[in-house]
Amino acid sequence: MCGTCGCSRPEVEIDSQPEPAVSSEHYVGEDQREPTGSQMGFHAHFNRRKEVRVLKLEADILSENRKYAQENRRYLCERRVGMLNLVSSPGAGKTTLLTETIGKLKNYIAVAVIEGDQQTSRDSDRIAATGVQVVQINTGKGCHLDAKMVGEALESLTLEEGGILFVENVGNLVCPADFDLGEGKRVVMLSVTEGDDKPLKYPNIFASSDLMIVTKIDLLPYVDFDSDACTQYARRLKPSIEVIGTSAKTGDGMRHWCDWLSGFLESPRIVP
Amino acid sequence: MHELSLIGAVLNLILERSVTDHFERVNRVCLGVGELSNSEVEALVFCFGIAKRGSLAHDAALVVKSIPGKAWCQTCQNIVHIAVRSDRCPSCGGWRLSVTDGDQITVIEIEVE
Repeated sequence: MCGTCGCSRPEVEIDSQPEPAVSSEHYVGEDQREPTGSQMGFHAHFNRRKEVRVLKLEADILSENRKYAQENRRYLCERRVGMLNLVSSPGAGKTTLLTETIGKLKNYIAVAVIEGDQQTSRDSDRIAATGVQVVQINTGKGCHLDAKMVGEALESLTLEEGGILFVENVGNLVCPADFDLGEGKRVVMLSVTEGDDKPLKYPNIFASSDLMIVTKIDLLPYVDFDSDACTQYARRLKPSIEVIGTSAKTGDGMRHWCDWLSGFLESPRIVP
Repeated sequence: MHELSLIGAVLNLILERSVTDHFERVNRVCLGVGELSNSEVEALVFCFGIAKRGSLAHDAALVVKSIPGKAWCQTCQNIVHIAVRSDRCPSCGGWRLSVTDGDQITVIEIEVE
């Protein structure tokens, strides 16, 4: 029913079910804007309105990011570079594990790193000290890296064929879960001081990861961290998730991790 | 607060469609948010309220529809409803679940003129 004069003409043309609350809200606004009066004619408010339509989009909000991620994936596949997206909460030991890993790998394969932090180049300085290529992305107030940022960083790296590229995401167990960067595999890291129930508290990031690294295992004697329970929780969310325990300090588990990395680099990659 | 990035993507999509579908303003944006998605509905509403200012959706109302979480239970060989990712299968109590629906965020439709 017309909201102005009460006639039976339809208020808006909608190709789905009309929603009266929206229409009436709209008409209040329209009446305030437009002059009413006899000189405009009884139904002037219809004539002056633009056609109201409902567009069915069914569009995935993350599809734009996914498009950039696929471009990154194609770029890396063509150069036979394996990219890993490292995610964890702040302080889980991503940079420390990375510097230790680089020390073991750099004489054998080309290593490059993309560092994501809200501010400062402290982490990239630590990586640069190991002598490998590194690009820092400061997200400012952003809480995660997205595929477009990584794509821009890729352009400033000279990647060697057959090499490995680590992306150290912003320390955050929530937001990075949604953003595919074009990585070959996603690695979630969790330190034993954080508690074994982290997978249950932050399920999306664990559900989207291929490998869980439990870091700082040299501290296990001093904390109540049940490694088996942690693995079980992670596998509830992602039955196929692999689990490795490491200590960058004592070197425990580093061999296992490096073996996993060589397996990752040898696995066939299909250009998307 | 990745919800702001998501709302930014919604507004970008609206801007793109305004060129192809020839509209000048948006009255209503209807989002479908999966129960298992990583986003808070309240945060999406808050961010939309801020980010829409000055855009084609300046006066638009936001409608959020919840999409139920569904998973395939390998034990039951059936699709079951789960409200959070750490839920057990409601039929057999097991964990052998793979999410099949309800982890997405979509723009279902927009009302434009």
